[in-house]
Amino acid sequence: MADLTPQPVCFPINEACPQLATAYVPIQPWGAVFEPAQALSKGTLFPPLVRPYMPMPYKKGVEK
Amino acid sequence: MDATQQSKLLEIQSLEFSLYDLHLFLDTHPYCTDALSLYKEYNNMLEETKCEYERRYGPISPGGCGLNEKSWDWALKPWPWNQSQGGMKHVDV
Repeated sequence: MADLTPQPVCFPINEACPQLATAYVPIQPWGAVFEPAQALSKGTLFPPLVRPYMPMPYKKGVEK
Repeated sequence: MDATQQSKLLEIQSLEFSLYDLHLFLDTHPYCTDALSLYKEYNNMLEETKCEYERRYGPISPGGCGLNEKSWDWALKPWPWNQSQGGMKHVDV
């Protein structure tokens, strides 16, 4: 019969056996929100979730 | 489309966007009364703003506040995406 006891899954790299990554997303707390017009231009109603996504600055010597 | 109409449309879009973001928040926080009451508030504001818009400029969608007893305005008034072209009609009446 197969062993069903919970065991960490690992991925052997050379001698080591690191565990797989575990993603963790903290729960979003309620807080102040933008006015609707501002929310539309910011891309979110929630100030902690604003991500400006600025264009990457051009780097010398890097092909586009 | 004049500036007043455009700003009314933007108001509708802003409210719809905010409601959608609140919807996503509420999916993971179904008992958050703050979010719930704001959803309710924005939902009422959206209804009002939409009605105001539809009464003045014609229907945004086939039903809603634009419903007229004498004519099917969806077919007669400019469609929302025709507004910027000066209000094309697609049927001759």
